[in-house]
Amino acid sequence: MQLLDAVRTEIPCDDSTLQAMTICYREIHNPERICEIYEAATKKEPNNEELLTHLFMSYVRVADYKKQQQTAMALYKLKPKNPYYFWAVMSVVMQAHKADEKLAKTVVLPLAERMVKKFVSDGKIEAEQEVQLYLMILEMQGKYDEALQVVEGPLGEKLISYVFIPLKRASLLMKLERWRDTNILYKLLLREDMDRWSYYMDYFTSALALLDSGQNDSAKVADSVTPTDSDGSIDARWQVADCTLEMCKDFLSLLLSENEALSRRLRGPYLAYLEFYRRLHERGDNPEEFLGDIVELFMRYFRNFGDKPCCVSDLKMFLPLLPNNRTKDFIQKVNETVGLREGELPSSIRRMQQHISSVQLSRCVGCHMDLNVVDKLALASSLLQYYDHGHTFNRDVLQTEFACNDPYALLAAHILYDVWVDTGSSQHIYDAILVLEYALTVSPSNFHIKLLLLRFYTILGAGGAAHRVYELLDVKHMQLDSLGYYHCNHIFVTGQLAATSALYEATLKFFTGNYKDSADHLTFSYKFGSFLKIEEFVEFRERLKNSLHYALVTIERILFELVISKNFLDTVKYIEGMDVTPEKDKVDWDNLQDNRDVQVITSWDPHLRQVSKEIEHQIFLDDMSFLRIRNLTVRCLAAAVDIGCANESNSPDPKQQHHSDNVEPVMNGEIKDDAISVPRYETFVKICDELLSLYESFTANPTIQVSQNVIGAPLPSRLYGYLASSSCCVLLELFGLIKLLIQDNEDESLTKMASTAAELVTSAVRKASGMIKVHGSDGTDQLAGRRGVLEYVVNTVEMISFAAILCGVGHSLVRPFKATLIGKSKKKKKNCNNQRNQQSQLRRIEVLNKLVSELQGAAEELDSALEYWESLPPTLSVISIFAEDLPSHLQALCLFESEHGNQNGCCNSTRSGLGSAVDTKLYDSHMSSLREIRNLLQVKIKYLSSVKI
Amino acid sequence: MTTLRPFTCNDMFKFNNVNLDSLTETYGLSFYMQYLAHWPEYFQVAESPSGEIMGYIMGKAEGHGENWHGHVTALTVSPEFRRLGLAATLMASLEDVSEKKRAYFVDLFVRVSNQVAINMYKRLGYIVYRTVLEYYSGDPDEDAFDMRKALSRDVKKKSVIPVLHPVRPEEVD
Repeated sequence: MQLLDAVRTEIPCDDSTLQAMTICYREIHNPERICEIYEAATKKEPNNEELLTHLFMSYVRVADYKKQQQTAMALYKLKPKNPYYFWAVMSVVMQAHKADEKLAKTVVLPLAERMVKKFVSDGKIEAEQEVQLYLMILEMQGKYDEALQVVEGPLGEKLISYVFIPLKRASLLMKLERWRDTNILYKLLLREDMDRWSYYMDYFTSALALLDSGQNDSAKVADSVTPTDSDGSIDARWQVADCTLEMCKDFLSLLLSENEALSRRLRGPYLAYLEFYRRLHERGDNPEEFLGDIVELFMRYFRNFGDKPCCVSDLKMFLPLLPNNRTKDFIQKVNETVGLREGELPSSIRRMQQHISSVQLSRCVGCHMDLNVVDKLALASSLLQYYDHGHTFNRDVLQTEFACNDPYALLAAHILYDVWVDTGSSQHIYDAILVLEYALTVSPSNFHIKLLLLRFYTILGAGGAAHRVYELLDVKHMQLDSLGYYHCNHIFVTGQLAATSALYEATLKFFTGNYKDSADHLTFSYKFGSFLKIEEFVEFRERLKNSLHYALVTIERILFELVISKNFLDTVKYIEGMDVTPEKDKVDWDNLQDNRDVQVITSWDPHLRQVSKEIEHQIFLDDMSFLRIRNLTVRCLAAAVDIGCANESNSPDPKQQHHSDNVEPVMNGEIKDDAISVPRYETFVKICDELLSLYESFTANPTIQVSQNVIGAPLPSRLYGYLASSSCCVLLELFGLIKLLIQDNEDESLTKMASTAAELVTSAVRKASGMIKVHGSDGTDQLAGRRGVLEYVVNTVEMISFAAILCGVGHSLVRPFKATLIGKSKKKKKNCNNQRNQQSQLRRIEVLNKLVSELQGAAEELDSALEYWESLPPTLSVISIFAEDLPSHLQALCLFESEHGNQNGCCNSTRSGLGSAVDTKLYDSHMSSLREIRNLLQVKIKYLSSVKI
Repeated sequence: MTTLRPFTCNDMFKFNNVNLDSLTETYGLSFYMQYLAHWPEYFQVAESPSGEIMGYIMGKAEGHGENWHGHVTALTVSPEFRRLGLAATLMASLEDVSEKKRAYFVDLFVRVSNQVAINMYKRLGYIVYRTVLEYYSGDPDEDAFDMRKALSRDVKKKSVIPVLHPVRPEEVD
């Protein structure tokens, strides 16, 4: 840093020095400095084109649009090249992006427009991108007419690659509500390609708008065909605007007949009927009257595409159109088309695929929901028979492709999950895991299998086994954000600490790295003139920066490091390094983004059991609440530690000494200025009060967990487990204790608070031991409760860790007393007042030491409870497997020893193959979790002994 | 049944059902951003009626003189939507853009073991122009076929006369 500052004062102008400095400032998240060095350099050499270009790009990095504009104009004056001029135009457009809408429309955008128009009238437009930018400016102002003129005029000829002219024309006509022209244009586009969904959508929109506008007299229809559109070689039916429902219907049937003449039929025309039906239904028209029976419309698609894997995902969005009293009829017709008799196995791959679609469809319309547990198990079992038989069709399937019978295994797993939801018995999740593990050996690249396995292992509390599956998915980069909720958010509470740490690191590395890089991406867009992408890039950058997952992992990582810190010094160092500023909330609450991909689990559940917007929103809010409480916890802990070390070192502010260490001072990519120096103590008291009222608001208005019956829904937020532990209460008591230690008097409440905190911790530990005992007793479904117990234990260990930190703070506060007490006892006491003071100080030391001892006792008690848990034998024998119902193929593979094995034991002791492999996975995962938690507890016991006086 | 539209940054939040596939690589953000910034017209996504991403193609235009060509960098279709001709649609869009840019040919690299893809490209009119040795790093390294299809500007089809001897990756420009 000093070196960098020294070089900067020299005002270097050579490229390599400046480039090197740019890289440095970029790495330390100080892009403003890059602007400064180039400002200085260009002042020295105002006619250096290269330096000015760098100056422009440095402003792009910090989004200073005004200075971008000025610099681009300076460049253009120096070297009148078109790109420079359009950089300036784009910089103006970006000012509109920032400004309020009125100012943007009345001042900023008209300026940009004038700038381009000047070039147009001077005939200086060269590149396609320049025309694109012109169109964008016109459209942003709602000047669609002029935009249309540009597209249709000579400038439009420059549009060759990104903007397809007919499409652009059509979309502008649509915005101008010129429905007749729009409609004809889309018909002609559909003539070229009748499998384009967006064309159909716009065709229907324009036709129905035309119908509603009442311009449906035939005279006008003839007029509407503009000369440019009419082509003698095209059948007139394609060139008439459809303005009645009849005409639309005729058009759809024209498409259908064209399609049926093709060698390979397209799905578009069939789905178009369903879409038209949907639109009429929505309008309150009577679609059946025009289009006939809805079941027949579905069947027309099914007969053609029932054997394609996309069948159900195509039809899914239309199934809600099917009235309840028609579902049986529909499924019956589907089954007739498939044509398999009861128990008959499909004879060809095509038949099998049709059969798979039929099962998926019947699930989609709710047929599986009405079944009782016995019937569901029977259905799962029968699907496994189909699955087993389906292996015959896998001969030509490559390892990199999905096995064609996989959907049966997936469906069976979904049904077993249903049974688990119905009964709560972990046996069914266990069975589902067996089925999926088996399917994965046959079809190792099927990620649907892996996603479900990961979920199911997590449900059973087997974080280690879940993590192994997670590694198979090879989640990286963007996926760390969009899929972070699936595993990363839940691994900590399964006690897999090493995996947790690795996941947090990888996630944060992605986010911080990206924030640095994304400024460069913006500079590329200017360089290549992709003006249409700039706004998108800016928004994308913000979306990642404000990701809730990013904010959560940032805070969780800090808490995690505090949990594993070895002693108080370690804790202090870490907090200083992280640059946590207790007085400042760094989370941009209003702009937090939900970047989760909650559609990643494919499900064939009925509409009501899909991940709805409400579920998505609720889990987002829950996680946000969790972030609130955890964020305040970090700040309170940091404030307490801050007070502790200030007391100890007597230095004005320990932070300032370490400030230049600069270990990732970024929170969501942002650098905050040094906060106003509020007295430490007041800050601490203030945020502790905030934590208290937040906690009270959560307990006063508890939210309800999202139901487990939606298989694709994210697991419930950690908020619930956290509030169910006494973590927050313990923290609040201990924060109160710190407050009293700083103040004088009030010895009574000091003792009281310390003992309340100790009691809370002890009773949490007792509760955990109790849970473990119950969990281990004979006849209990151990897998069912395991996840819950582990979560409680991990939260308790975390609580002990935070308590240890606060004892460390207390230790720093009272330790000076000891020195003075020793010193003073030598000097003899001066007066009564002083003596009282000394007694009080002695009391504090005693109180604190007692608290530490009690916490140690609690930690040791928890450790012995965990030791007991560890000593329990693998008790999967409790689980009786529905082995009898399993097809022999799977039985042989998963559950029983092969013929040379021991046949006379009970089935549980002879399980082998995959069955025992799964048992081992579950057992090993559990053991490694306990081992990691116990190791951590040992660290915490040592931590506590080091903070005793 | 497809909507073909330009790939946008936000598509990266929901392309998991395509990218979790074992043959589809998820690249670092910069890679996608570079293509979006430089060749947005060459980065197209196919979307299903319900808004799922079914597949996408990313490519670029490069080269000088008669070597000016379109290049397919990545083409992927979600397993659920295979065998519906989607790859052909995506390829056609890339060829179309390349035609408009007056390119001479379109080329692509494919693992010599990826028979499914090679056959598909052959059906679309591509020929094996040459073999590139150890183009894909891994254990072991794998050779690539450099496949090409001439566009209308290459009237004499000079770009698709196969090179019979294999080349090293560093010889490929």
